[in-house]
Amino acid sequence: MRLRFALPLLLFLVLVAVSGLALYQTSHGKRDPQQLPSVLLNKPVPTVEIPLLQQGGSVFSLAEYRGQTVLVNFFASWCLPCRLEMPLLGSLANEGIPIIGIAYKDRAADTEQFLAEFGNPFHAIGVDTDGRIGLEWGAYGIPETFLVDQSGLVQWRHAGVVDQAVLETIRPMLP
Amino acid sequence: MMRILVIIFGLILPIQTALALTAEERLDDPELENRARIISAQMRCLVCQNQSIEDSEAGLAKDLRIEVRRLLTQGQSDTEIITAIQQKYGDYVLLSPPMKPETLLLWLSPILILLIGGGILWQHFRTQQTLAPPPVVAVRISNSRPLRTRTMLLMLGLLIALSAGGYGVLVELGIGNNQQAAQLEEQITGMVQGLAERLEDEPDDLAGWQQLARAYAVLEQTEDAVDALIHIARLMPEDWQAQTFPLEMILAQGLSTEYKVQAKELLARLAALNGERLEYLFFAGHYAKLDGEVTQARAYWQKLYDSLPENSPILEQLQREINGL
Amino acid sequence: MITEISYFLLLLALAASLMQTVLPLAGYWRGQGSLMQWASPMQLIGSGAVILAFGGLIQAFVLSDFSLALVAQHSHSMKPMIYKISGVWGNHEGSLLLWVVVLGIYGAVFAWCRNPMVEKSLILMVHGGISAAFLGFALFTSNPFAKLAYPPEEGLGLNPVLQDIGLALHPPMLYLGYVGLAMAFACAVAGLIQGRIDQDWARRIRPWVLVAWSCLTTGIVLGSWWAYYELGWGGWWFWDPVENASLMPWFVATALLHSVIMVEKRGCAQSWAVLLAILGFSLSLIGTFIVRSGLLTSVHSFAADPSRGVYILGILVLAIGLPLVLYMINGPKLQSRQSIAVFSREAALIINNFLLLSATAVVLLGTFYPLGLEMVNGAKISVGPPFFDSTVLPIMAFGVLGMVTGSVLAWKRGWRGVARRVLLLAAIAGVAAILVGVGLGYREVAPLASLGLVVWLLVGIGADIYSRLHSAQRLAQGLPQLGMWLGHLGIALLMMGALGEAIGQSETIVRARAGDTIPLGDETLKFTEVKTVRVDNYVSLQVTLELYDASGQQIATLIPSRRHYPAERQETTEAAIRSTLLGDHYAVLGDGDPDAGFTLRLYYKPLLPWLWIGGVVMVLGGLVSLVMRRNKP
Repeated sequence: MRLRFALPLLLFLVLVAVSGLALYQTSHGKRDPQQLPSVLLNKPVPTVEIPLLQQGGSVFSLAEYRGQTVLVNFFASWCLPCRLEMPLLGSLANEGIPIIGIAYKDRAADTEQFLAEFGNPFHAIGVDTDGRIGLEWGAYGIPETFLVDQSGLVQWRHAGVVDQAVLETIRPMLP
Repeated sequence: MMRILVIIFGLILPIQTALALTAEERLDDPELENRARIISAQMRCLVCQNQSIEDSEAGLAKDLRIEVRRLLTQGQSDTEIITAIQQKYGDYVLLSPPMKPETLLLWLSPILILLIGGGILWQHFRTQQTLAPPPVVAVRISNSRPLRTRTMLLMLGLLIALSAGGYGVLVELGIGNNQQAAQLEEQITGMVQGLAERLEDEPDDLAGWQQLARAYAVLEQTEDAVDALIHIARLMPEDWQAQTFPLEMILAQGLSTEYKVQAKELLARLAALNGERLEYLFFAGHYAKLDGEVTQARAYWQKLYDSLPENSPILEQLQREINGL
Repeated sequence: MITEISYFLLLLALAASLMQTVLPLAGYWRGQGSLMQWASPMQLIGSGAVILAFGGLIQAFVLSDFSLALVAQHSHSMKPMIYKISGVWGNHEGSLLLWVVVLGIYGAVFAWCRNPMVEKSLILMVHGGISAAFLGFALFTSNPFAKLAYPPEEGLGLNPVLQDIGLALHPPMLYLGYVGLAMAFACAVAGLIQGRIDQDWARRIRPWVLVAWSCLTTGIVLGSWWAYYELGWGGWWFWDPVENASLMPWFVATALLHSVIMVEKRGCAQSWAVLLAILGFSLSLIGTFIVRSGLLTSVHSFAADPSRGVYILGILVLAIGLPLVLYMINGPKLQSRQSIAVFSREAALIINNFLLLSATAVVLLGTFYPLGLEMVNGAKISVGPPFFDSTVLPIMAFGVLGMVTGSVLAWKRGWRGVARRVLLLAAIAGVAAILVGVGLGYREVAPLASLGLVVWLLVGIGADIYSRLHSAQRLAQGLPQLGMWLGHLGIALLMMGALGEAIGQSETIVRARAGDTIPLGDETLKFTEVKTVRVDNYVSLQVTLELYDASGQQIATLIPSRRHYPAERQETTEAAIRSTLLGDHYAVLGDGDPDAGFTLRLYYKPLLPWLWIGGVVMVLGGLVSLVMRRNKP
């Protein structure tokens, strides 16, 4: 009978605990409400064929990179934040990490112009004219970066600019 | 109503209100279209506040709507389509969470609440009896005299002294001015302003102007960015791209009157560099169209159309543009 | 200078609120009335100071004083005056101040009213504690009077979506509702401290509950109406966390409204009423927390300031936790001392409370479940409209069933003479309506059920009114029921509006150019003109659509438009709506240009205006109850 009078308090305490934990994690950088977990984690990359930007009409697949750790980066010339991460991607490429760029819903001429202006860190550049490849990958924001390990499994995904802080979190996964 | 408060409290990015579903996306078959609506209404737009893809105008929502319709026309069932999209984007995309061990509590909650609550109620009805009212344990409060004016004034003085002290402390420590975002933006704008001022004195500093243009672009101050790009174009009259950058932005904004002269100037420079280049033909036609010179626009674009290779992917779109003139 | 004074006044108000809490508490502890009586003057001083400070902020917005960070960020000198003023609460800091101001107004009115000194002081003590917490929140984390070292020449503007009359009024109404519940909350806590919840208590609390409930209803309806005409796809309820934040207090306030009557008339269900009074305001606070901590807004929200969230969570723990502890200790002493017959109005009201509270619990769980699950195993899920539709609505359906049953039952003694006949009539009508619906070819359960419920409710109310009013002598008896009838009728009308839209909406989406004719069933729409109009602070692209009925008679001109706000670099969609009592024609202008044509989205929503009429009738019911009660000796 008394429990009935304590019930509201108990439920409230659960609510406070959940909210408090979430607040703590958010304010200490352990939780970013903007990031969604990728369904692809620890799964092989989608087998969709990716047309190449340069060699008109030919396609490539990520299977060619089996045995290497690869970054896959969705970008576009119309995407302002993409410009910000190009230098950092460039320095990663210089370290010998192959980065595959996928130009998302972009015109080929614009993509080339963009690469000419902001640098081209990419080992290969695919095009995703209508966003279908992005759909297969479960991409929801541009820029968006995936880390694919040597056995072709997706290990990490980040939507938004890859900056120094983000880079630190994936350092251990890089060779 | 959903976003009202959120907007008020400045929590979300500006919404672009445009129409969600466009006329072209619709399927002709009303039954399929109806199914598409029902499926879309159950999927969350991943980049929006809390909308379904049916209601959202975000690019991704549009892609998903088209994907739903594509799968529908392939003859897939509603469940198959929902599963297909769930496999790419996870449970988060479903507005109605899937029945799983971890959502069981959620889905059973209405029944549990009704059962437990009903149980308590039933117990209450069954066991109730008329009780004698318990003795009221009244706390004795002494009588008080009405407050005198002098006491009131004293208290007021005390309050003012207290808050004055608090005022001093707060102002000294700068507590409460939680405007970090504003300060940050101010700093950036300040930096950009400084750069802009410096460049006024050194108008030939090409690298500086490029930096400024980029900064404006990032800050989304489009007009300032265009101005800076125009300046760069003047500094590098021989550079093709330096001309096309600002021109493209001006045209994309719909050629406002203040930029007409500059656009013309840029076009002239492009023509001087290479009047036969396809890109030039496109820009010249676009300019003429926005300027209202339909015949000229048609001439440029027709020429462009004729010079494009037959397998060019933009032929069809160009044809549409020409017809639309 | 004025801003400095205003800031100082906020501090003064904080000091007064602290005194207002500490002195009566100390006085009650030591049994000294002379200490307790300070509550009222302190409340008046605090309220005065807060209101003056708010005036200072309004003045800064009106004069576009961009040396204030808040004004620079949220106003613009080109803004129309009314939106300069509504811009004051169109942001976090200003709306928080508005919250405190409303709190101050309620407190001052209560301090002014005549009430026994001890009860009054205890209630104001609680009220002062809430004021102090929120003033502290404003001063220490979100100071509205923060200055900019280098004032800009022009402001960053008010979000154009906010430049709207519905939205200018929506937050103040909602706050009047939320904060009105604070008064009931204070009464409940004071009653728990004293261990006395009696008929006097119910009489004291009831007008505040009625005012709060009416304002809350108005606020929710206004917000819904705004979404309907402004967001541009004709939806009016989305089960968004922010909406849920206002719906939960409304459910509880409704339950409280009903249980307070029980306490007043029969002296039973005290512990219920107290719990509801505490929960009502608690849920308002939780709503504030949801909105301002940024925890439950989704991927596209700005990262909210965590220190703000922590502060509000602290307020929550104190303001909700302490009363609930008090409830746990003193609640059992308040148990009902009257037996309740199963078939009596009391029983019906308890079941009503139970259903409303269950609905609240489901909404609360649905709103917080994704967060909880993420904390437990990191999975992210969405709980959206399909969930709430399929769980909350059935619970509410039972509530609607009870609305007729409860109102025909009598206090204490079970069935009133005509009750059975009224119920039978309403039931037959409801079932008949469902059969007609099936006959017309509708097969889905939800619309059929709501059809039956609407008819059940309308017929039930009608029969109840008739049975009570068919003699002049009974007229006087019936009058106190007027508020209830209006309130219930409002619900019925509201459901009718929602139902009409749900089963009868027709939609046409076309791409059209000026000169085109668009067939809409019997009617036709002529697209006559596209034009651009320049207004003060925006440019509007308008298309003119002439609506003709089946006989070729023009019945309306619809002008949907899109606005571009250069200062904010934003676009808004303005739907064109033609309302009649039968339904709304709703036209939205989409993408396109004069050459390729524009996408037009055209709806006919039968009966939809009854949604708003129902809301107004409900509020009217609340106000009538308030006035009727006042006239009684």
